[in-house]
Amino acid sequence: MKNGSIYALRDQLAVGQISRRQFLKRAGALGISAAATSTLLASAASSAAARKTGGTLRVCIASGGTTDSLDPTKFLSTGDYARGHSIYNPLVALNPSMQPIPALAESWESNSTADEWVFSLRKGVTFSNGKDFTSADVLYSLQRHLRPESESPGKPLLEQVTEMKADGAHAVRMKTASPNADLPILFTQPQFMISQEGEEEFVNPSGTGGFIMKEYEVGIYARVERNPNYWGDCYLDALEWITNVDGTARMNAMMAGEYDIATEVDRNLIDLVTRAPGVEIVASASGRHTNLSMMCDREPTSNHDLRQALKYCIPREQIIQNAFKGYGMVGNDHQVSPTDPFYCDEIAQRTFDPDKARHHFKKSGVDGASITLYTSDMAVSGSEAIALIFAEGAKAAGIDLQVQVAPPGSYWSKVWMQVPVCVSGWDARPTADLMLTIANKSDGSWNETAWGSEPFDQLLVAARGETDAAKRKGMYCEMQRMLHDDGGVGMLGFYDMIDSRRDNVVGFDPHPAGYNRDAFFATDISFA
Amino acid sequence: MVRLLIRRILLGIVVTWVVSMMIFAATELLPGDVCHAVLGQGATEQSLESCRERLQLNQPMHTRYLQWLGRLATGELGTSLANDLQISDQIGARAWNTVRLAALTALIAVPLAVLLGLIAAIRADSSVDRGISIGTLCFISVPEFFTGVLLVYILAVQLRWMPAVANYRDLTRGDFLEVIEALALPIATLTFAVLAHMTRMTRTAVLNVMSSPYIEQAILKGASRSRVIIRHALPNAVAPIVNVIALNLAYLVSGVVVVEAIFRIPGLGTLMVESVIYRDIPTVQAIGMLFCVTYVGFNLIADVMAIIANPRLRHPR
Repeated sequence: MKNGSIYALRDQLAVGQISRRQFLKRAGALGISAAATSTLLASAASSAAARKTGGTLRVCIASGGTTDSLDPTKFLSTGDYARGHSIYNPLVALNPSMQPIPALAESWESNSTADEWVFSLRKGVTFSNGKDFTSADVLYSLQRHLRPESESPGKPLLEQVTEMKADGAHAVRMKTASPNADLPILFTQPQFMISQEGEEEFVNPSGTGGFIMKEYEVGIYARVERNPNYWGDCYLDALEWITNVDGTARMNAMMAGEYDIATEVDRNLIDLVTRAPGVEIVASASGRHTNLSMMCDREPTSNHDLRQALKYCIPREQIIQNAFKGYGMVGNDHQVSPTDPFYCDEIAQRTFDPDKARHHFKKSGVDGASITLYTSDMAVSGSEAIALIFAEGAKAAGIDLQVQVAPPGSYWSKVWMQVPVCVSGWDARPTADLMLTIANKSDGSWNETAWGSEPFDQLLVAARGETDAAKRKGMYCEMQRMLHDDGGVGMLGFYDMIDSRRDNVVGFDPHPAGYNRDAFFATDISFA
Repeated sequence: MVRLLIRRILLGIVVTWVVSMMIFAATELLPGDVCHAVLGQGATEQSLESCRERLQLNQPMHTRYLQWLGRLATGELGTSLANDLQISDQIGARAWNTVRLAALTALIAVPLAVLLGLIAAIRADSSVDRGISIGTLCFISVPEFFTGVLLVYILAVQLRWMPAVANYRDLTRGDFLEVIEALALPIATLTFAVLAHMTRMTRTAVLNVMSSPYIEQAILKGASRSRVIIRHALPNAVAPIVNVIALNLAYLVSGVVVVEAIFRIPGLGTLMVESVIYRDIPTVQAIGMLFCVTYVGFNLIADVMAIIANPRLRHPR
């Protein structure tokens, strides 16, 4: 039993990141007894800790460098996102159950077809230079992404908004090219944080966030201090952002007490870090995953039975235990994460079943030795080991496939979406719609399995515009079932995002939004 | 002698020029293009195109080399592809951290190495000599990332005497003591790395001279062994010692990449590594040239010192 992972699981339950049911399922998977589980459940309920106001907290950021920027349209690294969330706000934030909650937009509503929206803005909010926050700032910040010379990662996302105009000083109206019930979630993306109208240089930018940038050295260090006029709660006097991209050095410094929070713990260091006095692991279940990508448009994986056979060969629990040290979740052969509100509980979990695999494999008539599985740690750290675990599982079913480790530098360009079977990996997407559109729609930009289905595509578009929540959930369930039954994705596992905090830090809790994190995470942190 | 010096300097310039061509060619050969690296997996054809246009990556290579050389000669390094900042400003800010680390290390390592080398030579083949030999061999065999991490683990994580990473505020704004505290472990790590080479060279050079007839004369005169070594042997052994010191000093400036990464010191090494990751070619080229000039410069100084120290070169027949 991994002690660390069960306590992390309890944290996730306590902040509502996973449901009670998911907790029990995962605890069971970790081999925790029912009695121990109920004790943990009780302790999860009583976790609201005392908070202290003031102090300077040091956060070590694991990624970033000379491309770091304070201009939201240029945000690329997790360091950018984190610093950005401390000095700016987005319109909308995501809560731990991945539902949109108000930030600078107080409320929003759409027409019944979800293609006309109005966002009401929070009143009485000021920028750190004293100017009032109005709809002009929102329009300015968003339209910067759409300029011809813009290289913003948010540009393709925002292009669906065909019209954007102010409705008085505190409301913004938008029209979208086609219905999209998830439009508010779009504005949780870090690039869409709101800066001040007219800001171009971003040398000393004003924001509406809980902190004001005081010192900034690109890619190295930043110091923000509390914004006395912030519209929400803020506990700390100051935050220091220190970039340290070296995994070992980062954890050494964390254990030596140089940081209060350090993001991204290498999985190999987890045990060492949990043993260090005063340091805790914060594991966020997330939609990040690694999967078998079986291309449906070429031999031999165009064969439906072969795909089924390979899906039954995945030793799912073993991958979570061995490759992810217990910090992960099994998947059900589609890319919607169990943390997503639209995850379908009704589809029976496919498990490791050599007999069924053998049956389908025989039916397919394919020669096992002809299958080569390509892999690289470039896909997801640990993918090479995972491919070997999978190959052992396949062997148990009588499929003797070859594992080939490909050179990392050209993995995405020469292997992925080129060979019939390879190990792939994806970052979390904020909505099920975005994940399914990018990876499974027949004309999706990265439809890696070349799986295409007319009914699926239609359902996807229809679900995007559906405003009735229950109906919508049913549609997503149907799509997950299609992928589960026929698609080219064999889910190897969803894995947690693992950070660390000192035991006197409160409010730095698991959040499934992946690297985007909780939009209020800077103002939520405090010392105990 | 003047002609000799002029020839050395001209040679240095030629070497720098050849290296400039190699640096330009090598960075052109890096796989992938800078726009792909900067924009990441989320890049679209459209954003890639506008990025390439902005950076003029569509022009032929020789045109860009000549333009680059011209700008380099006038000291204008251009702007970084990664963040549009002036490269000279960025390098300037980082260079101070690297140079300071290198200088402080040299201040400790060079005298210590010469001293240890002389002790080893004076007590050649004694247990002291063997001890120094074995110790320095051990340190030269262990890479810096191991010594560095080991020192951090013992002195920072376990004993908590030293900071595990160099604190940025101390490093940039701290008083002298805070700077020393932040840099103590990096200096120690680097000292271990360069000490062995210089110590062993000092010992060997001195012992080489010890077999000359004039040393025999000095010994016969009745001078003590330490006096013979320091007054008679050392001056003639200076050339090879200075050479190896110069090489190690150049290494301290350009080879500190690993140590800078372990202790998170924002110096030239980390800047170079980040620039390679982001395919920020102009910055990589600029730092590459800086390292080249450093090497050539130190070697030039070593040559000049060797010429001055050597009476046969100083007074040619």
